Amino acid sequence: MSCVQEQIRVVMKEFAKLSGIADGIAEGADLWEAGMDSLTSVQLLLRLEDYFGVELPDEALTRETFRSIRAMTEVLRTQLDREGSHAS
Amino acid sequence: MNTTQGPDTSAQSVPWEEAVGRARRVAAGKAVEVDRAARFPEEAVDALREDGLLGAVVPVRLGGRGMSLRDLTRAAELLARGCGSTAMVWAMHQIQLACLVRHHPGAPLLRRAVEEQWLIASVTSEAGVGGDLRRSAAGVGQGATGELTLHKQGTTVSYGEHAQGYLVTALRGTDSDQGDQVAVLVSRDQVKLVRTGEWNTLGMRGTCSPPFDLDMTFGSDQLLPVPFGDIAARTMVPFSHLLWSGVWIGLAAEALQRALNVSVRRGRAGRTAAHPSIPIAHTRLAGARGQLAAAIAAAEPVIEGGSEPTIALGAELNALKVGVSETVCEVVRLSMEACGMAGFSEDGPHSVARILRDVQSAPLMIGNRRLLATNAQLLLTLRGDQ
Repeated sequence: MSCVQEQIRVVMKEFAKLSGIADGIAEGADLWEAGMDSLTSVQLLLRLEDYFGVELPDEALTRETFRSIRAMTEVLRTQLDREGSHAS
Repeated sequence: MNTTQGPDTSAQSVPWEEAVGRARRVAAGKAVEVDRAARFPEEAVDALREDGLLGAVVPVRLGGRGMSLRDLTRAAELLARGCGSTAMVWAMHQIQLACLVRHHPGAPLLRRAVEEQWLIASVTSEAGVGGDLRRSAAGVGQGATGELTLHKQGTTVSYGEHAQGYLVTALRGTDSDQGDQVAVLVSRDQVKLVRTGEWNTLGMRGTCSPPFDLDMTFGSDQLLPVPFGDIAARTMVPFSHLLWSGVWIGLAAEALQRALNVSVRRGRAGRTAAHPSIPIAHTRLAGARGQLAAAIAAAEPVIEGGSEPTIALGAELNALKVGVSETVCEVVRLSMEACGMAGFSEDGPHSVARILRDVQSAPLMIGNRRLLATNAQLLLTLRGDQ
């Protein structure tokens, strides 16, 4: 089980539109169909960056990045590796 | 209007610039009448149809003209020089078609829609949800014999009575969350259409966009296979902001041209030619054109390549819509100032009155304040490396 993924779920609970699904939703399930909207994705992004101490590049800030917990995990892991700090 | 004939490939062999020029002349000839009577610009739309321009955005392999984003926005601009309502009807139709060819190219009705050159209206607005594209109230239901049903109260259905097809948004099911939307293409004969109000507006009167109640019955294969949120982000919103901007810039360019015509005439008569408002209007218009060109360049990788739309692109397109819609109002106001009473008049070759009324719709089509509020959030994510 990915530690990054679990931490994403913890952060998701802070958001009204995601708190109800944060624990139970499958890692590959479509978050946009489960209540995510563009403003929530922006707020979640800012919170995740703060939590993990990384800054995602503009090209990573797409709808696909926030498609699923798995997609967010991959993007964050890549950035954590790039910046040389490991959260898990 | 003949909507049953097959695609006239000889008509499509006419270069788009020539075909748009012809439609523009027809539109210009009827613009005053269309505006006064708030009637649909059927002559201009027929001209667009005859030259295969209703299929402008449809790829050549699917029977269309396969025009690029750059050419589509330029065509919108040129049509608006003749008639704002005609240009907006054409632009909105292209937006609907773009959603279909990009997200449901195998749609059972699409081939027919292209072959018969349907005009496709969108039914996205809805009573109870305001103008929020990303929210719906009515949901798709199950009919008694396996077909799907939908009853929707559309608040602003442009050219609703003149369309042969409708791209309708709805909740995936009657119990779905407000944001869980789908889109469906239905044909006119699948819709019971009841007009529930009038369209008597300040401008864009020829778009004929009153409210309608729509009762629809359709097959499940008519639902677009992609969630509407993805269609909106990848296609509907980018195409809307870009093509609308093209229309508005065309209106502003026409107003400025009329101001220049007045000045030239005055100059020939030996009076002071140069009105100080004209170079200001010209400068503002150049700025709007520049913003549109930059936005096209930014959107091309998404629209014509396979790139994912970024938050930065979304913010740029929102800024385009807000910026151009405000600038064109200023350009047209300055142009009227330069025209003087000849511009203020509803009649005559130097009238700017209709154009001034038409562009007032620009800041309202998706309210600028709403877009600025969205951008206030989106801009927090920009990294300063743009």
